[in-house]
Amino acid sequence: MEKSTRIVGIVGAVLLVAGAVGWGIQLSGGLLAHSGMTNIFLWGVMIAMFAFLVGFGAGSQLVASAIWLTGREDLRPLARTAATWGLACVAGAGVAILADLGALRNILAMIVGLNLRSPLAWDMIAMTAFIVLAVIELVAMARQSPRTQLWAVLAGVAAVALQVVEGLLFSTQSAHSWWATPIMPVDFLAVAFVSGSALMLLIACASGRLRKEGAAEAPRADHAAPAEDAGAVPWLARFCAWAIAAHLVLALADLALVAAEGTPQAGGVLAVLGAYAPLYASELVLPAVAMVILFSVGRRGNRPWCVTAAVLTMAGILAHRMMLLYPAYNAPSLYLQLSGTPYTTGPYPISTGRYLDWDATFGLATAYVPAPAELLATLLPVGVALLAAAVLTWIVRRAACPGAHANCDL
Amino acid sequence: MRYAMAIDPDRCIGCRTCAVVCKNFNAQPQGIWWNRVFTSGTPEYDVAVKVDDQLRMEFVPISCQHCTNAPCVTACPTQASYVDADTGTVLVDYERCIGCRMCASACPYGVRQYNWGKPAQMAGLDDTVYAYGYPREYRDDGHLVYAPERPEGVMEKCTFCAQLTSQGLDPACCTACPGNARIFGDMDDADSAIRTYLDGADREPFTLGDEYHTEPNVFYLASHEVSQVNPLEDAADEKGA
Repeated sequence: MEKSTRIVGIVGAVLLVAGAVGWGIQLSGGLLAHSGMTNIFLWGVMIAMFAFLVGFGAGSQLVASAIWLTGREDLRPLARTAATWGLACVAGAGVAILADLGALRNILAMIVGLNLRSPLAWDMIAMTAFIVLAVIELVAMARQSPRTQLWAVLAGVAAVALQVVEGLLFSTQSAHSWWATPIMPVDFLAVAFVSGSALMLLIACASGRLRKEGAAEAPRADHAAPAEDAGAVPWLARFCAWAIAAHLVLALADLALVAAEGTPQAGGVLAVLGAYAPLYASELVLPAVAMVILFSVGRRGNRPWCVTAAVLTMAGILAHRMMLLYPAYNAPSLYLQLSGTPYTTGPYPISTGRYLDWDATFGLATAYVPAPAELLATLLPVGVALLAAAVLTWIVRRAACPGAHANCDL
Repeated sequence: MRYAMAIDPDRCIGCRTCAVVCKNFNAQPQGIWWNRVFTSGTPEYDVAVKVDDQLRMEFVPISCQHCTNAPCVTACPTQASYVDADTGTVLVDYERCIGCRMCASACPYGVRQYNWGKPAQMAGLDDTVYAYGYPREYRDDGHLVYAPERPEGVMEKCTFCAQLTSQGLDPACCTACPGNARIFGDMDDADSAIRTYLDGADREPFTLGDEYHTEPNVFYLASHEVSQVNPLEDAADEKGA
């Protein structure tokens, strides 16, 4: 196993164990007892992590499919890496959903009682279809099958479907004006392109650096920086920069629509955006800075700047995923009218369901902060994704490159 | 048959008996409220709002609206939330609920209550816990829709007291309301209590959250003008003049 793959695997295993401990604490105290959520703020950091990982998964697959569709043979090793990480991240996202369920014991009902009108049912179907197609694609890549391109395209279509369904999962909830917009599924797709290309950019830069270190230690012909590295970084930098541009346009259009809506619900959303201004600014400014870097020095293949841009982008997308939740849950959905008058009088409080811990029976908003065990549990899906990426990389690499030379993968 | 409830604010005195009786009869764990009453226009209780230079105070009880087009039922991936075909009541099967909270997220009325972990029992002054409420499980065509000891990690909400209405009785909140502000019955039966009340009322019934197109089966009647001149403000005006 290559050193970089080993490191990813070890880090993944450590995070998986730490996350399992956090989840165990939640389970032992009564499922989800150790969390900062309430009946007002129904989804927390685990769902944010789910959306974060599924974006990286689908996005990585889209990078792989784009390479096959554009016929860039020099980038085929990158396509293999991207497909591997795509599958691993979606697997991690699946674990996040399962870990967030309150009554996992009833999970069989997802099969025997599946409600096809539910976006969550379609989410499960889309995720399963993606995983199946991604596995077939990886097998085809490993065997260097002539049908690899077909499977890469099909897996790419599944990735698009997965992100659209994720977006619909939120946008069909008319109770939350922050979500109930047709922009949501399109932006989910844009965020996937951003996430996947940023992750691949980071991996391409990091693997190039590791190879250079390897070459310094034991200069061999097969340790030289491969030709595809040189082409991959500028290509990914441009890819990521355009994706960020599309995402920012959609995010700002979303903001403009809410600002123009003029309803009390939209006013509530704007108030929450103001209350969480630093986090909201992070989701816009960090990717914007990354985009400028990538459009300028990044597209020329400057690796330190590309790494910086990729990290800024990922941080911005994490903030974006958290900001998916705050304005949705902390902006009340029900405003009353004084009967027989045209006057809208104000929002209606909700029972928090957390009297014992919060000392507040009713409220309009929750200043949600993840509990320590909840944060720890969030490492579980991340650990699964990293460990799966390492194991899959090792398996695919062994199958595709029996000689195991270093240039086989990024 | 389509069960529905009418709420007449003219008769509501804001005592919150309905909320307490609902909690007690349905053995709701600590922190859980299926039914709540607030004063329109303020998150505080018993506070009047000023309308056209007059003060007005109106109590609005809200529980599950048992919508015909229920977003919670659409959102539920396992059909744990369903509309009872016999009565039109929206119910939750505790044995099918996976605790994903999609339904509560989809509900614009904020009436769904989730058990965050093992349901907390009520504690007495001497730190002992006590049991209360309807003592037996109730199943609707095999679906477990009420259990005195709530399973952990599942969603719960108003059932129109399915364990009572199945016996031809009214929900506990209707029976207990001292002002008879809640009227329950079958909207498809022209002779039912609710139809008689609504048909005889001199005010048009309205529903909450019409912008969400949920077609609720809880109807409110506009209250008569129950406003008064703000005596404090008038006194201040006179003083200023």
